[in-house]
Amino acid sequence: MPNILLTQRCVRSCPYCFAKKHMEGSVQDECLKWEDLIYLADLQEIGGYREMRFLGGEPTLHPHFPDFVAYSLKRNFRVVTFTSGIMSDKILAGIREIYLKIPEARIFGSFLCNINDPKISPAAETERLHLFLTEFGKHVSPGFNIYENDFDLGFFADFINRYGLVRTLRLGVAHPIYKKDNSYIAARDLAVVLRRIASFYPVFSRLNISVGLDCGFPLCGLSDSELGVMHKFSKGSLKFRCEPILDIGPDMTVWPCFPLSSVKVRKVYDFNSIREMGEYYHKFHGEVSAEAGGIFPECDECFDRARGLCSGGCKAHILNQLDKEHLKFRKLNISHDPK
Amino acid sequence: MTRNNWTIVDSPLAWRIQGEPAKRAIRVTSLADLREAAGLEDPEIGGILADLPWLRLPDLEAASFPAKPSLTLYLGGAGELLAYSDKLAALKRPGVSVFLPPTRQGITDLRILSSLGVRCGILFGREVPDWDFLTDLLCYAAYTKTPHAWIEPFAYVHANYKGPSSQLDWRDAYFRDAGRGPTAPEDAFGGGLTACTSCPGWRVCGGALSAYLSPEGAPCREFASALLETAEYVHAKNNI
Repeated sequence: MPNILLTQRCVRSCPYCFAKKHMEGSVQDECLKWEDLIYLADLQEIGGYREMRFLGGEPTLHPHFPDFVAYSLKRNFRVVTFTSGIMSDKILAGIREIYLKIPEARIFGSFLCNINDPKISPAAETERLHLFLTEFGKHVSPGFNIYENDFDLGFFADFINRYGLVRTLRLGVAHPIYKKDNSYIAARDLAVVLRRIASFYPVFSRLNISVGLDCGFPLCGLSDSELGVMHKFSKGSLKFRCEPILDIGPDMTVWPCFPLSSVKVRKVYDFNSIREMGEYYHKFHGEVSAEAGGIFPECDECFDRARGLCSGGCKAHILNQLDKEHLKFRKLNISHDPK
Repeated sequence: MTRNNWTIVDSPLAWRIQGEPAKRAIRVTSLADLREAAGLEDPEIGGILADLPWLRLPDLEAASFPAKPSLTLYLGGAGELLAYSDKLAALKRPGVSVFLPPTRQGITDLRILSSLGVRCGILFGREVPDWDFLTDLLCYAAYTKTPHAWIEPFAYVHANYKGPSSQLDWRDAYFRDAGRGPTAPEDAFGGGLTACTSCPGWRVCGGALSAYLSPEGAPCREFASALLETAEYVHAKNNI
């Protein structure tokens, strides 16, 4: 299922923001139009997909956000909103109005809230987040983006218990954005990050909090026992994948994921179906993998990668490396951001 | 029969074409009259036409929706979806339809309503249409594969176009009410029919858009041509 960016506007300026680099080249005020939302809903319905995933920027800043959610729910989609949780009283009231009318079962996990470490967040943002989580906490899956090696997850134990959040913490890592200059975790540090995540297992397991790993982590670098800990920590859902997510912008452009947001950018209308979109970008992923197995030289000969246990890390890392090495680059026929 | 500000209008010819008996409708122009008419039980009355251009859907109450005959709402706009979402079940009942002016916002509202299963239509006559947006809505009505409710006059044209020998007047899908809507072709500016009869879309428009003609030209021409194209497409699709 694709992610749909409702707007490029945002309330925060997170140092790791993937979308920021994409937004820098776009019209900041651009918002998804009603006609395009309906088009995307039709496309999803035809493809048999029943979930609308709203992103941004901050999707709740879209002037029609409550109506968009109401519309999607009326068409029997499940709606998941990726939000900072930092919103005005008016927007909070609009969300409240929608969700009061919906059966609880339909709104569980409706929000994916990326929460920054409160120690570095402005007080005003923390206060707004507090209001949102107080009201909608039990429908919120918390998330965290790792952009430094010495991150702290301890505050989530308090947040999850205090606000009744869903007890699975989604962990993403800042990957390089191809052809852009952003802060990211170097490939050689990804194993360090995984070990640090695993170090929280003893405390979190006592609180029945599990983790879900976002894409782009490599399997190697961890011992089998460390992998076992991570397997338990993730309740058996540990995956080391890098696959196209499909992000659709408010201007109806589509790209494989934010780290590759300047690569193979097309228009949604270029495709007849979501499936065709996915196949197009999977093919591109295959082409990249054919040129370089993964983010490390050893990936080419890796048995675990050959068996499908690991994708070899984030493709954006790979493309950057290929760029530097000037190796077989032209064969990939990569088209850059047409803007 | 008249009561207060009620008038009787002829129900659409299209209803009779569809096999329904010829009935008349009551035209009301206030919410109070609508409420009263909705409570009527008169077998001679086939429907209620509520002409309420200042109203939006959130302003309607449940009592406005009659259990029987049909209800056609002529409104100025739909309003915010969140504000009328609790009325969608009533709006989707058989016999209920919502007509909005062909402004940019009105056309957007029509697409929303149609995609949610609410029968709707374009209220020509008061405002100058946004022709590009209107053509886009036409394409939505004709080509979208996902289920959606009909939009008049597209539905009427698509259902009744039978090939090159067809000559339609889509005003047959509307209530006949003197003084409203597009005028007859012979009233077109310049007094002649040339602007209309030379238009590719004449066969499906029949001059219904002639009120929009001006000395500068026929802004409706592209839209009417597109309407013919979609009619031919639907006809071909249904006759494979």
